[in-house]
Amino acid sequence: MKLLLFPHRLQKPAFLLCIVFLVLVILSVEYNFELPFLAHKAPSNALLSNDNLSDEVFLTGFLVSLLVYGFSREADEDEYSVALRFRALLLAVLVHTIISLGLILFSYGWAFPVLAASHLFTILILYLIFYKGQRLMNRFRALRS
Amino acid sequence: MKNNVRELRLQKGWSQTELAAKTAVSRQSIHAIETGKYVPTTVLALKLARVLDCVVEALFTLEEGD
Repeated sequence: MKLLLFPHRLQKPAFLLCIVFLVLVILSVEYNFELPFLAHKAPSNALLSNDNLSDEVFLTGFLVSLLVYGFSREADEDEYSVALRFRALLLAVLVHTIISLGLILFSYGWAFPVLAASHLFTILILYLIFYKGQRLMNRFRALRS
Repeated sequence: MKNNVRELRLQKGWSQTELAAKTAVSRQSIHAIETGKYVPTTVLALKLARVLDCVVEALFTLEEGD
């Protein structure tokens, strides 16, 4: 089964961008770090607005680089990789749904939107953990045999 | 599903890496097939049979309960 995947040459740059954007997201959330050239004039009547687009850019960059890293072709991509991807995706959706249910049932007030926003990334992160983890374990087992 | 990929590969004197190269898959895939963790598609099963000079039934056999 052939999958629509990003080219393999994008895998390493996407991984590096993941790290860079993750650091920027953490700096932005914890220390209000902003890039001055991303400042803009927010409309005065806007209900939810800010005067800098840094956090939007950082979060978009993090999400897109996670997607490209997770779904770029491996150097040795074959039908077993496809099976591993499918298994990892299934597990990620399952765990993501359980966490979503936990959020709906056990988080109230201001905590809900904060946790729900962080939860945007969990499905891709879980998929990456399951998929790359399985590949690493298989490589280790194949080397030992 | 019982498989004899390992036995037939060893009869040929090939390593997992060599068999992987001949069938254009990764070494991990061959390892997963040999250890029964992964059942290959019909295309890969036919490729394996071709490079190992046997029929697919000599490589894979159904077990009770399959």
